[in-house]
Amino acid sequence: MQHDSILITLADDDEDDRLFFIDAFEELKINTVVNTVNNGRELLNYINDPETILPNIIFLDLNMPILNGIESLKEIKQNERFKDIVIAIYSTSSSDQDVEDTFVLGANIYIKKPSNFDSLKKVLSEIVTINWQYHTSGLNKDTFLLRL
Amino acid sequence: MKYYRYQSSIYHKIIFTVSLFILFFISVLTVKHINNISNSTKLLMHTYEVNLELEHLFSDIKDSENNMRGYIISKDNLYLILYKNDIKSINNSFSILKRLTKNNPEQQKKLESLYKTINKRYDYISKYSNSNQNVDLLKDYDFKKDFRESSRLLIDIRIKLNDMVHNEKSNLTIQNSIYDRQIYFTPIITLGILFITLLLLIFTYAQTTKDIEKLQTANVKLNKSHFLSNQAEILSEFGTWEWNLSNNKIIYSDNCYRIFGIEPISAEADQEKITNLIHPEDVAVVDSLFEKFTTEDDVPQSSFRIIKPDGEIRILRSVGKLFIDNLGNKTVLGVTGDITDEHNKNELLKSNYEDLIKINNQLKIFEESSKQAEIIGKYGSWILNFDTSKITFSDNRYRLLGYEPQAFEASIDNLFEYVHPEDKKNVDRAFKKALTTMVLPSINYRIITKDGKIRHFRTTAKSFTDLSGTQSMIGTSRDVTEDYNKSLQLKQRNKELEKHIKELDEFNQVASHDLQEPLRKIQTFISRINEKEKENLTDTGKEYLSRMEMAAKRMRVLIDDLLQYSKANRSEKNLVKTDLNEILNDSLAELSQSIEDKKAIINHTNLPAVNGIAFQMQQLFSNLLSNSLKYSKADTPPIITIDCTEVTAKTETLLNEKSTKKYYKITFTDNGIGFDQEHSKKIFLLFNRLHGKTEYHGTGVGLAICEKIMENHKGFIFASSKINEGATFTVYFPFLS
Amino acid sequence: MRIFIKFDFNNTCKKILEEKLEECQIKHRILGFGEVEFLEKVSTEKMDLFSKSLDRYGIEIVENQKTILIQKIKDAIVDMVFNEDSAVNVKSSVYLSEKLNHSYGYLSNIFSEVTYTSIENFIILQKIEYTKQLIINNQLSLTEIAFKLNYSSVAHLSSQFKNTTGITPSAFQRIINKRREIASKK
Repeated sequence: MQHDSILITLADDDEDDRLFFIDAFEELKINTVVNTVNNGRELLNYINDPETILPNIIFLDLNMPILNGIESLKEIKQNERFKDIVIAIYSTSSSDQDVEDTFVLGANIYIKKPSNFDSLKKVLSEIVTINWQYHTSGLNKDTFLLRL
Repeated sequence: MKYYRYQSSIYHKIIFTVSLFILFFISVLTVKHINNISNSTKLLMHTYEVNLELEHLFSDIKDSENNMRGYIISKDNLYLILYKNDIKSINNSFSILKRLTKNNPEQQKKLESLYKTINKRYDYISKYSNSNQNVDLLKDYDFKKDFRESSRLLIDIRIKLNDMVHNEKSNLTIQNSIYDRQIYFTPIITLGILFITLLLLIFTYAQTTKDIEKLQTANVKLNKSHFLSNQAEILSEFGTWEWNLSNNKIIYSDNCYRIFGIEPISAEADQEKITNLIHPEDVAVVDSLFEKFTTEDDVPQSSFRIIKPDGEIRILRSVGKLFIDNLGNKTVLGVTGDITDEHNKNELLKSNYEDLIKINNQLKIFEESSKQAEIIGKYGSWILNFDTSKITFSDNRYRLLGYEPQAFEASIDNLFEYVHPEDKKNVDRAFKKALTTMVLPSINYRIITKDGKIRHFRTTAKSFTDLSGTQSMIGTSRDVTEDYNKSLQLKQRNKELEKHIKELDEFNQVASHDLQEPLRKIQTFISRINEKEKENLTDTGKEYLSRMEMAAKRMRVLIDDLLQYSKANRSEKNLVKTDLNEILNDSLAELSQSIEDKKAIINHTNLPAVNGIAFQMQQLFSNLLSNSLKYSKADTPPIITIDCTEVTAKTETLLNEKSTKKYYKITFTDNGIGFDQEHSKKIFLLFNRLHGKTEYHGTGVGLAICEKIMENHKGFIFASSKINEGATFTVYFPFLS
Repeated sequence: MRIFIKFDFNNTCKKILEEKLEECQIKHRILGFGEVEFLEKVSTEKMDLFSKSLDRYGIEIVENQKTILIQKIKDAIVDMVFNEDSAVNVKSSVYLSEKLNHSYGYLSNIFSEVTYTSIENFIILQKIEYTKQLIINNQLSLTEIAFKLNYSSVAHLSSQFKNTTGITPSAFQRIINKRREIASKK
């Protein structure tokens, strides 16, 4: 891989989930840099900071205090500067309605939080590779939709 | 048949008589004149004859004189014979003159004196005729004297004759002058009278021409009226006839034939013919009727039936009257009319009248019962007559207001007098509007009764026009206080129910969604322990962990299914046209792994588009398909057949619906283990399972969701099966509207 | 207002390359599939300048032989899926080995090693990508798309689409349509 690490940011208010997330990437041994924020507001503050190097993928929990996933998604999509960031929804619920709504709002990936660590690892690995394919193989990011 | 008399004017009679008289008069006059003229001619002739005879006489006398002289001179007897002849002629002439002058006494007298004179003279002469012929008379003195005497007598005769001629002439002249005078006036009078007659005749002619014109006009009028009467006969369906009793012939008017259904002129109409058409049962009636016409003066009209040649039965009525003319001819004049329609109308009227009486009775009963109904139904009514502006209240309206019936006089002003002040404005507005639109749509308001209680009323009114054209408005007010209270309670309950449902919904959300997070974490931690710390556990610990994992897994499935069910319940009514073929493809894609694993064969026909919620449709298809896959026989690969037909509700026994509503009937038939038909209803119940958890994993939510989904789509789902013979799930979708 | 554009990635890149090579005055021959042959010796400064000018467009010069081969494989697959309609009838392994002059096993190994995914997966990914494009163009029905991409049935295509993207083709179409709706409202 020619690129440096893939930059990943997770916004989730649940500490356990953040932990699983980080653990999973650690075990995957993909060249990634993961950082986490506790809610949507924190996420927006982070990416709006000009100092910040924009992440390649943002994982968004839907059910968050202060600013939830949907609201965060809307705000991110309003800003041209963030148009290249792949948005992955990372939620406990997996209702078709939620999936469709978030995709319509511009999310690229929808992941139902797996109830098994191995599954989590598998899912995250798939996301990173497919995303990388999109990134390197000239695939149309606008039609990049993935539900896992 | 033209009957008319022309009354010649009295004028004509007078003129005719006068003319006749004048003509007679003229004739008489003319005859008289002609007689006069002939008389005058006769007179002339008479005078002439007399004169002639007198001349004749004179000449005879002269001859006799001469002959006598000859005899005396010559004594020749020849002269004597001639003389005797002359005497005879003189006598003859005398007799003629005597006859001619017998009408004239004066001439008679003269003739007599003449006769005497002549005789005297002959006496002189005859003395010498018988004397001796030898005597010389010439020398005789007597003779000479006689001779002179005779000559003097001759002159005397001559004078007398002249006198007679003269007399005759003067007589003629007098007579002629009288005639002349008479004849002079005759032409003038005749001409005058002729002129007058001519004038009279001209006048009469003019008068006659006038009369003829009048006659012609009258004739035209008569023709018209004849035509009209013919038409009238046709229109009024009556005909006239004339029965001549002397020859027993009946002459019918054209329309008379028509009434009997015979073309006029077509067949000879006689009594026989008509009698043949008379209804057999009525022949006697007609016979007696005609009998009566000839005998009785005043026969009441009588009706009878006929059967027309085309078989139609009509009812006729005849009247007739006997007429005897101057010659003693007896004729019955009659009119026969078709009264079938009238008769029918009368029948109808009669039955209508009977109906009316019946209706009237019913109305009375209805009125009484409506009074009762008003009391039981707690309503009162009022009728506002627009023509008289009068209003009447039903008894119960008074009662509803807390008054005795008819306790006060009803008027428009107190129609809404008892309305609650807060509602008065609304009611007034609605009523005013109703007076223009003629309809008062249902309005609710409060009233305050006599004893101050507040009651809830509902009033509707509608205007109508009765048969007499009177427009009225009928209003009904109902005491809906109880209904109002009930609906108030219902509203309250509905509110509560809504709240409950919302709460339940929220609970569902929370239960299924929020419960998932801790469960997921439990599962994840279990997987972490499994991966990292398993070797540190004892075998029992491992066993416990494994069971824990199973339990957690089961809880996950339960929660997932519950979530789906609550979602199906939270029906979103946004139905859009959905192509079921796409839905099926998506479902097959979703289940592709399972289909592949089980080597299942899915057959399906082309499916329709329905009004639906796409993801629910897919859930339905997926659930039904996965159900069939799940409950397949272990040793046979599943075959699932999806079929679709268009059906009408009433032909589908499953639907128990009598309408002609159209449905798509889609069947999912499998060859799986099936189930006992007695459970066909039970399997749609939530958490209902026919099999043990270990045999076939599942929560018993899938089919419940399917039923819920069909409910949301105004459709139905049914299951039928036999154990080990596969199952059929039938769903009905209403046609796309 | 928003418009939707469909573009030929390869052609665009080729145009840009040609432009930039002219700018840097390098004699060249474009071989297609992201391969350019220099017909003269190029100085390091010129190479730097050329490299930087392409950087802006997200085009980078790959030097690694392996990476080059991977790129070739990818290009061949893209070409197979998108352009050469007839090629879909040929087995992809045969097609690739013939086109790239390597055994399929070799290609497969080296591809997986570098991309963390198999050639088969990549072909599927490309096919689904093409399917997406066809769905968005709205000209062909799913049945026609399945036929065009040599799928045995619509169900097969649908299931592959769902396996790859996690959503069904119709859901995909719905989402794209809704996105357009929202976009056109802005």
